Amino acid sequence: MNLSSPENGKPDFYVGYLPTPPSHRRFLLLMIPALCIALVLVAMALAGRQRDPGATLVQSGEIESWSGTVFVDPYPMIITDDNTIHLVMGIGKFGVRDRVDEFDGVRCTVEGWRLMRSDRRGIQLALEPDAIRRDQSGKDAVSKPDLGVGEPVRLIGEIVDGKCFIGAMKPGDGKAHKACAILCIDGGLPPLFASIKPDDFETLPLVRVNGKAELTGGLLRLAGEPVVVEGILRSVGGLAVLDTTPEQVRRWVPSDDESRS
Amino acid sequence: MREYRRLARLACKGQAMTNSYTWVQWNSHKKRYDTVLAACCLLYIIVFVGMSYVVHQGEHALSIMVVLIRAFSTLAIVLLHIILCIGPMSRFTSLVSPLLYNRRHLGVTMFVAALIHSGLVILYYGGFGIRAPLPAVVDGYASFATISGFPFEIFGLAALLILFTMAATSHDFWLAFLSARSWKILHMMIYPCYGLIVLHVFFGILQSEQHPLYGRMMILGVGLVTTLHLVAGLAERKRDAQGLAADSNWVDIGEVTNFQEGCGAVICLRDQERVAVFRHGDGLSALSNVCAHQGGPLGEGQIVDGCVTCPWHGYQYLPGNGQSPPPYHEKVPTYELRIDGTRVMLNPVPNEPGLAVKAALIPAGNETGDA
Repeated sequence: MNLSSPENGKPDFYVGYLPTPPSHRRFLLLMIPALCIALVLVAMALAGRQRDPGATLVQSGEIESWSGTVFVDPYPMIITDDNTIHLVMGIGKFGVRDRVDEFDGVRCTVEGWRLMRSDRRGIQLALEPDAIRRDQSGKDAVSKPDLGVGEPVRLIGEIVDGKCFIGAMKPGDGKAHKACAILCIDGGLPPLFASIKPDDFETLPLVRVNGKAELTGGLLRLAGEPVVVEGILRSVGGLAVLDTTPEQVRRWVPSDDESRS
Repeated sequence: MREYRRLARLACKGQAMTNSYTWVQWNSHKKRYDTVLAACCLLYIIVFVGMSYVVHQGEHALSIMVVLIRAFSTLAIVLLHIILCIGPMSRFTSLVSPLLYNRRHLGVTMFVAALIHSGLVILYYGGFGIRAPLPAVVDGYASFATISGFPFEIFGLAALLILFTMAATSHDFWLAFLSARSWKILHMMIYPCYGLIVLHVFFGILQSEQHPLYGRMMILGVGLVTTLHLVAGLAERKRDAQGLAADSNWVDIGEVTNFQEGCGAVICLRDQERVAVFRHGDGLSALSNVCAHQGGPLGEGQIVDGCVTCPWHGYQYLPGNGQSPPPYHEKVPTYELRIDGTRVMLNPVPNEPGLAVKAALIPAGNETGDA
């Protein structure tokens, strides 16, 4: 494209350290606003199509306290006086089993920050040594919840870490979050099962493999990606628990039947 | 000699070509360019973050770190596409020369955006756990056998290493140290880097953010970059294929009147390097078409202050000997020209870089190439 200058008939010629020729100046005056508009549109389009991470609540700031009975199994939790189960988790990507062990079946006061997604509630235990302590109110501890009978299920979804998914990170699932989910579960945070069916999100059962709420080896690798899990779905004092074995968990492939039996 | 003194003066102010090394040889254009670039990046980040919280509010709001990770990653990808499009676009129009002139600043800015993205990812997803942050993000827990389990972070990390190498060697010191040819080869790594980034996106975020817009925009970007490169490359190849046969001592390169005063003309010779021919005053001179700085097409330049001036970064050479005026040291090969009647004849054998050659004098009555 020749851009003749009216002064000497030579095409306009741009050199960075010399004054900008008129045609290049005009081009830049048009191009810069156009580029800004394009950037705004691209940013709006990309940001506007991000998927909804789901409704979660994560409390920050002032520490809150709960009183109730603490149990270590199937996962460290406190059953408060209103019969609500809160999973008790640590700061960062760590579980708190070592801090909770001595309080199994004991009525305690727990201090920390609230996490919540749907019916699944969690507490991020504060760092202070007395953030979990025996309750002095004189009320009795409740008895350990029974292991319900349950029903066999086949679920398709994703094993997520229970802290990020219920509010610590949003979104706390999917491929981009996979490395974090593995790190969290490996560090002792609870593996939960998020079904691909939105209605099933509310259940968010705790995944227990061979009786333990932890994933190891090849199973840990499957966190954060679509899997098919077969097992027994039961309620332990109101906490949904999915009991399974390593052989009953496998990577989901599109040809799999998506129906839940 | 007036031009030499002027250029030497400019060099002392750090405004012209390189004869000493400073971090950035600032001039008013570079300052404006960087200001606009920084403003555009800031605008993009603000709009992306703002829009993220307009779409998902309250209990549905995304974590700020996730939003920033995505804002910087998409900014880096957008900048990379602009960078990759400038080169082939400059083959179609010289209007993009101001963008080409400072493309390295754009590249370094893109690297910084990618670095911020990576740093936030490593800190946020890999930090606060039982392992060190970097291994936690790229360690062997992932599966190489499936798309859903493939550790896409490895592609991103490899791309970042390439971008770092390119950003670290973007200064003219490295250009001189490595030689223009090696430097160019090193910086052609932007293409494998682009491939790695496409894979990083495909195996990563496209597996969890499944709105079709993301895939479509990525395909559009790859399509645009590929098409522009193919069209520009094919046009150049066709031009070379139609070049003049250089099988005799002297090649007829056209009428004297075809050469415009003060402007360059690119002569394509079959199976040989292109030649840049310039008309200056009563004479015609020929140099290699390849600038010694970054390989810019000298024949698409003009004569400024008596010097052949490269259209890419303004490097200058004396038409008579292919040497940059003192105090600079760059040299390009020269060629011999002669005029038979009204025809210009080129000896296709290049001389040593910087060898003085007498200009072919244009006979009186052939000035129609003047402006």
